[in-house]
Amino acid sequence: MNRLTIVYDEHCAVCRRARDWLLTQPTHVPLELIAAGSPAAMGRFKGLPWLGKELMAADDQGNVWVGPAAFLTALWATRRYRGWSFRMSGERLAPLAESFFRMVSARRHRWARFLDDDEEECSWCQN
Amino acid sequence: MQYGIAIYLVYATVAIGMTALLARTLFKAGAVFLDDVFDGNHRLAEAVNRLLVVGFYMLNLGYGLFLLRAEPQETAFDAVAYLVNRLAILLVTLGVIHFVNVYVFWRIRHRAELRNAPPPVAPQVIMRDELSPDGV
Repeated sequence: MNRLTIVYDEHCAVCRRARDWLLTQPTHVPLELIAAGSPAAMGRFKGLPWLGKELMAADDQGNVWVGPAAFLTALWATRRYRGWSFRMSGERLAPLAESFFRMVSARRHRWARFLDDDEEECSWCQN
Repeated sequence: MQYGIAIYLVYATVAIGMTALLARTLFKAGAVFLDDVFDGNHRLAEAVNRLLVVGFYMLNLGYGLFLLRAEPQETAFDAVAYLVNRLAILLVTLGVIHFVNVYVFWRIRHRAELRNAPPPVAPQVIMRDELSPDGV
């Protein structure tokens, strides 16, 4: 894998926050974060029904991970948390991690008000 | 008769002997680990191995010598008891340091394994056709 593309929902504060965090992390693979509504995402992933609804991760060979799998793959890309991506995909933690991710993902638009979200003021995360 | 010098001599012999023996074991077994970790880059593996062993020597010998402050003992029994006690402390310490070393080797190997590991879960979709030549 030479590059991992993460497609996130740009209308949700949690997702933008997660993206900003991910951008600060040292990674094993170069990461590319694109908004689900951007022309790049529309062009590349228009055939996929999850676009804009679920988190997606795609490598440069056409493999696409969706939802909880995309979440784990994004973690796997980071240097610090690669070990956790394996732990969380193991037999014991996988169901827990999956339901946690689904819970956050399904309610993602409701979390915005807790995250006093000011995109413009975040100068270090422009991308 | 006093036993001060005898204690020092026996202790030094055993301490240096044990350290050398352990260091050799560590060096030989560690080489296998490190060769695997550094993908057959023998020179780097050997360099790291040597550095670890040198550290092991310094730590052990230094600690071993530091440990011994013998006072002249009056009877042979006292002398032997004192010697055995010091050697016991030395051995336990060497054992702990040795296990720490093995743990360090294991950590190094584990990290290398993680670095080369594929993603933990299989992709849901594989889109071969939609991929444009430049990937975006």
